[in-house]
Amino acid sequence: MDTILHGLARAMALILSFDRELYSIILLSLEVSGLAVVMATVIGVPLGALCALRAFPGRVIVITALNTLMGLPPVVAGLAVYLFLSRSGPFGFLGLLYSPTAMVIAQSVIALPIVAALTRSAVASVDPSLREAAVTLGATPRMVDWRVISEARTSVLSAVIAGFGRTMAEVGAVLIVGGNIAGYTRVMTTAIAMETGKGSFELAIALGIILLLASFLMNVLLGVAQGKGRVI
Amino acid sequence: MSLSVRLDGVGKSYGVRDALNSISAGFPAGTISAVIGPNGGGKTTLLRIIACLEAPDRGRVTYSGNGGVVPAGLGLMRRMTCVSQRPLLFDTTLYENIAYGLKARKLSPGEIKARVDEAMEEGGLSGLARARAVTLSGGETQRAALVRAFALKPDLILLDEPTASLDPDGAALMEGLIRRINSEYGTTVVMTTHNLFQARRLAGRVFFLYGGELVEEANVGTFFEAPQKDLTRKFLTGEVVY
Repeated sequence: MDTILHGLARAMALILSFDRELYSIILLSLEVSGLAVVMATVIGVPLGALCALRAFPGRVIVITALNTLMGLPPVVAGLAVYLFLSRSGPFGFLGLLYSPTAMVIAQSVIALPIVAALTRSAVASVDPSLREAAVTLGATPRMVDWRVISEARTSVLSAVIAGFGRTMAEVGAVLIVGGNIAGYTRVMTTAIAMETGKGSFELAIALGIILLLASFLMNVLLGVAQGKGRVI
Repeated sequence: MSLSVRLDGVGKSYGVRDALNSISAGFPAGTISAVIGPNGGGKTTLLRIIACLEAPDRGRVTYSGNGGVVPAGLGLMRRMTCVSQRPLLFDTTLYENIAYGLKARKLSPGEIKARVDEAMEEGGLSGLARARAVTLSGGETQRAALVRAFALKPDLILLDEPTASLDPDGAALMEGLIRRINSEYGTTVVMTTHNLFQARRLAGRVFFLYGGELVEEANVGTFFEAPQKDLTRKFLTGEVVY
């Protein structure tokens, strides 16, 4: 118990003293996960909406693949990205392995199926009568699609936040492709794993508190979106 | 500028059940027609087929206006509109809801605002422009859906039980708007109703659907005073229960 209390006290001191190492790790985590979720959103939201709104050859296969990949173990995603980016891999010539860019790619691979599958589910669950209402008002097919997606916007935002939460919390993929290099590719989760292994709990606890705080903030954002953001 | 509609042998089946069976009928331009009949008679299916929301399995529907046939497509869809029995408003402001169809028609912002303001005032919805549509009561929602349709000043308007959720005041207001859009803009109105008094008040011609069959159609006076078919008489006297 003393270890925990002592760790908590030291952690609070690190947070309140704006410890440079701590905050550089936090910033890199936000940067990597933020960029990853932007990439996943740019590809995943249109892909999910397309699967919900249009029939096309292979649609069922795409939906099944997305649903399956929602549970993709991060280490498997990390391994796949590693194999592609390693020196002997097809994209090895880019020299991206053990860089924040590789971490963004790996986390995008993890977040994309979550964002796309949840977006598909959200758009597909919009009342079909709403589409008919838009059609009877003389809307073009594009206007109708946009209306349907707009109706699902809160759930789509939830999908994006879920993707962000998953990327912030994952450790396996970023460890494999980032290498946990201090000051370069060390993020909150890899730092927590390493510091815990070393028995240095204060930084691990401080980062744990920040991660919990980030999760809390995401839920607050979602609540605001659901409450006030429905009118556009 | 109003549209007329002609149905020739229109049929629609859902599985083994015939929702409509070889319906032939005409809805002349600039008239108000009421389609009545018990539940399951085919009224809503008829309206949905005219609104191009469903394709008939048999027969055809022809739209005419300005002396010629109007082909199916976006041009036709922008000359008519339909308000369903269970109207749905978009999850945005009431103003945006009413402006939606006008934006689709690419009206200028000034014209859109003028039309929305006018429609909201006529529909007794003034002051609710910024209200979130999903927060409206059932009656307000139905009124708003009707106002959204009226704001388009369409050539043909299809109304499925337009006053079913309205109190007597709201129903009277909407009936006034139906009359006005018909008389002022020459809009052809085809409406379904369970309210025989309403059919009598508004319609020039009445169509009685029963079990997917068009049992009788006649001018409103003849239909209610001297129906030709025994089934119609029984329906009007309440022997055929809804």
